[in-house]
Amino acid sequence: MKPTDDAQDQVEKADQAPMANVESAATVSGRFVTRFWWLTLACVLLSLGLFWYARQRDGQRIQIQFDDGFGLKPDDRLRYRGIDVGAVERVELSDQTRKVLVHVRLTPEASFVAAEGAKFWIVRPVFSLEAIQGLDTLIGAKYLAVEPAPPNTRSQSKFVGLDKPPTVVPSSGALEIILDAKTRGGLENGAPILYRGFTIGKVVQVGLASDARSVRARCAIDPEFRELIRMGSKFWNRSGWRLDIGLTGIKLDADTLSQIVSGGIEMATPADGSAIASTGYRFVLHDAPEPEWLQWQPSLPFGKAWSQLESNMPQPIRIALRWQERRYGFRNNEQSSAWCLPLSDGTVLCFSEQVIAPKLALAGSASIELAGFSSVLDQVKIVSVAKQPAIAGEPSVVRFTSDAELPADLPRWPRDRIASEMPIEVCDIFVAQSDVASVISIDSSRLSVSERGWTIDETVALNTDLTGSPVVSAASGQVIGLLEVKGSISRVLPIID
Amino acid sequence: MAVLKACHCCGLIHSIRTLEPGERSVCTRCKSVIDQPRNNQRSQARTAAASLAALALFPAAVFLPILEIEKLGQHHQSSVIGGILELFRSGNLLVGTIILVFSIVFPLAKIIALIELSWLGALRQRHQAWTYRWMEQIGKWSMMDVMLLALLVMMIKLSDLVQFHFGPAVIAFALCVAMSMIAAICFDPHAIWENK
Repeated sequence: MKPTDDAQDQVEKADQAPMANVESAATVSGRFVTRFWWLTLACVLLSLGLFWYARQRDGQRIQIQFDDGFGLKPDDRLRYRGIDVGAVERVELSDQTRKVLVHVRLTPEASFVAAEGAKFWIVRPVFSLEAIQGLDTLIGAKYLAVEPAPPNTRSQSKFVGLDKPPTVVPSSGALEIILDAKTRGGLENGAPILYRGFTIGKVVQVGLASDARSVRARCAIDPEFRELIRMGSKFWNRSGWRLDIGLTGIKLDADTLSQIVSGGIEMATPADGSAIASTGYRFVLHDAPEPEWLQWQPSLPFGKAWSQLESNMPQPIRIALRWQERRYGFRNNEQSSAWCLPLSDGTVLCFSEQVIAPKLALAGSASIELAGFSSVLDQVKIVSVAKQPAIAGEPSVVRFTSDAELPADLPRWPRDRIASEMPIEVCDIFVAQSDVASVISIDSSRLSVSERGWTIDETVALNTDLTGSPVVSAASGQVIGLLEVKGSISRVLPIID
Repeated sequence: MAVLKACHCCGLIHSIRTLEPGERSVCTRCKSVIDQPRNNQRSQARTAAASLAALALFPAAVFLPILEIEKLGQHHQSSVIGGILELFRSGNLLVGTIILVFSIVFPLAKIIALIELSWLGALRQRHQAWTYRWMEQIGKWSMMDVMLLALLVMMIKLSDLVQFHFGPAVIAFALCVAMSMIAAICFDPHAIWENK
């Protein structure tokens, strides 16, 4: 039926239908005019606002290329320092390069990650002799980890991921040394280098030497520990645990759980370890320590203590007292030597033993030898003797002059850097040696105040040879006394004029 | 000249005389307004405004993430389109197609049809009548509002198992449903046949 016919029909039947009530009303405004347009405007703005908000919340998108996806899937996380900074959106195979492309959406606050030089790798469970890593990925999902580039680098959205976690980058100031081993023996990147079980550095890179004769491990020693590595240091592989099965039973040797799984490289430095190793110095990595190495217990200044004393340390020289004794009717040559400290005013600081002839010495036979010169003891004038409770047979510190001209280039310690009194409280001290490298550091906890100066704990192994070495206070930098070592007893004796 | 017109509300047929501006006819039985001069213009303006508002909200409702699910540390967020694509990818072609047709194609078609109808004069009467009939049919199958309900049910039922967050699309979605409903209500089919 056509609309026109329909209208005709309606008109014909109009009489039968009730008339509608008509009331007055406001006139309807013109074409397309209505307040509803405000609603439309609001909705358009809202829609745009929502898009803007979602984009804002979404963060940047980046693409990382990997050789192996390791089962990474959408919605796996990207983590930096253990917290989520993004999520995998999708993983695909690239057509040409046959690599895995991982598309990651960063969280808005983590946009700094998308900068040139950022390193990405997939964290997955790793079981090896030296480390168990990524255990959280065994049960939970795998995740991507990132090491962002330094700040203020150019932003970038396409990256090439690493196959394994990035090698430890030695921090600036680290000492890099090289260890040569016969076999790899479980040596892995990142294995710790331990000194007395304390981590002082890490293996940075393990590889075959260029001639394939040995395995070469590049190691970085943390800057604060670099003074512990001396030319004479010994390194050996530490498997972490040892199992002994014998008639008496089974014995398992292990320090901590982490060492059972981690192992590492252990090192020891002898007391006469000579100079500090410099960058690139090569050591041999032994399979096992010799028993002697484990006994080494040198006092080595390192870190902050080291940097303090490096500038100014007294340099003692050897002094020898020679005399003749009559024993069983024969004249025997005797000698006693120790360290002494030349001072700026021409005097020399040493123990009275070195400048006072023993009672048994034949008259006129005694002489001292100092810095290559010899002078008859009669020519030696004692300028001052330390005032301290005089105990017969016990030495005290004396200052003397001799007619022997000391060489002009001999380092002399300024007179004003001699403490006139021992400090009341014990403090950290250094025992000066002829070369700065072998300075011995002694912690204040090893010292106790005694009747005659400070007594050094017996646990600190000091050689009798060290007698006469000047002792410097770490606090003031002044020479506070001379070291006396007699048998197992070592003391710091004061210099009081 | 009087015309016959049924009341929208109770269906009683009235005979209405030609109305002057400032007048309106009211149903004798239920008192609802039956007709007003230039009523067609008002209905068309309102329909146009509401349906354009719905159209503006539609992309936001479909493309923005609507649901964020946190389950055992796994974070997942998806939009309506994303969900449909996910269904296709996992092989659920039937379910995917059903949702695509009833939640996206039909609602969008309804909104576009309403815009077209509100633009009187732009098309010939017969074409508009056809559009109207067609819209009435597909309107029944436009399931946007049903989907909103499904979301609510899911939130209430599953909130113990997984953690839910609604994304920004939910606001757009709800408003889009409301706007297209307003547009449909405001549209007066008489306007199509009314003499201009």
